[in-house]
Amino acid sequence: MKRRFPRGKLRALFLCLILLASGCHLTAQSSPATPADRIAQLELQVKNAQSSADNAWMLVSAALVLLMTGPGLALFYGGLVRKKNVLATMLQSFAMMALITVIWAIVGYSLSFGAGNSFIGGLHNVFLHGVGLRPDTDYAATIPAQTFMVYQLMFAIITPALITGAFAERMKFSAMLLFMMLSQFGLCRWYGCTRYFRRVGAGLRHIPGTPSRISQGTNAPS
Amino acid sequence: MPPHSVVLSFVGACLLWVGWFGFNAGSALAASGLATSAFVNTHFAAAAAAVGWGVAEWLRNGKASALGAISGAVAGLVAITPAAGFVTPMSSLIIGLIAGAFCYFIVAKVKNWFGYDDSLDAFGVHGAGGTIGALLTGIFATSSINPIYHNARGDVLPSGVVDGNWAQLGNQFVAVAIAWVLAIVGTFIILKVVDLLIGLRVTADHEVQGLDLSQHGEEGYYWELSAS
Repeated sequence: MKRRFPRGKLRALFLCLILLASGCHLTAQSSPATPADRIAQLELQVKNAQSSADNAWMLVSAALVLLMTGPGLALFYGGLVRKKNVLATMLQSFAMMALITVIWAIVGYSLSFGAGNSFIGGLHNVFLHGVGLRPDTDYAATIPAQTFMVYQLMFAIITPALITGAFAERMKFSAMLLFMMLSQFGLCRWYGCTRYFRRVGAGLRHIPGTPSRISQGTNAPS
Repeated sequence: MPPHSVVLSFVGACLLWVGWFGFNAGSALAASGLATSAFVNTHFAAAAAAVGWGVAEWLRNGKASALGAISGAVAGLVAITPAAGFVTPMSSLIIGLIAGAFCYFIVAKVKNWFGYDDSLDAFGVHGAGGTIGALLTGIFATSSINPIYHNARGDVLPSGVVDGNWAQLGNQFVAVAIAWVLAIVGTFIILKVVDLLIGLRVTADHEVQGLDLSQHGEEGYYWELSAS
């Protein structure tokens, strides 16, 4: 004997499911009831879309700038020196990737970009306190503050790594590390200056790189 | 002192070229049209500077070298960095050509005149390239790419010399002078401090031995000597 599922019940169940699904659909569609709400939601979505696009590019850019130091400069300088100094020269660039990152996280970012005067930041952001995933509108309104922080970190790494080219083959490793730690605190003033300099002249946008390049020349005769 | 491996430097310079897009086009801090402009300028200047250095070297030595080509490209990348967000692609070609030839002149001629110690040509490529680039920015910056100056009513004002604003060249001179003074004084002070604390240079023995062994206790290459 064939047991039949009662057709009436099946139909009712099906109907309920459809109603439920469409109900959910309707509530999702109609939640911003007024035009003002809908416009606000739309604005938020547009903002999020722009933030996503900018953030994607900035994260890739940060990785590219690290690529300049990581294999780029290390190989470039490493090849130019004599055979007996190749590792020491490559390690100088790599050491910057490690050392500057740690300093940056603890105090460097705060001294460079924390609230302060025109020449040096403060200690408000030590240990990256307050540097979260919300944008810092002082610097970049559409990307998370941490993206901005890590992008600037890559610049803080390549700047001293570039300088190492000037004293390759003759400086003590310990002296190089100490020099870089001290100049990190010296150069971060320069980062702080950029805001001031932007008002003075336009070409200064990329100025953080300039002192490093020029100081290579002044280091060279030492 | 000849480089021990131009091959390593060659690969490194190519990676620098690629990474430099993040350096310049990322400095727009957004995926914007300005980022595109900086990206294109970066590439054009690097290429033009490699041509500029290569041609200058060819004319002088009768040969264009691989080391010259990569040095020229790096000089062009350095030179376009201050200008990347402000100039047209054609201007970046000119900046690159000038920077390549100028840095070759510094490395091949001026270095010999003064006899300074710069084994990696850090000053000739980076110092000279950065300086010439910063000055050329004052000439080629145009408000059609990046309107940075506005008057009180919000009208766009000319940027660089190509727009008719000669004052910007003066601004750039001032900026370069400040950068030089800060770099020289700052570097001198920090070097003195480090020298007093722990000493800067390795001993003469260690320098002859090589920094790999004396500073790190290892060597870059272990060549197996064959029996023959």
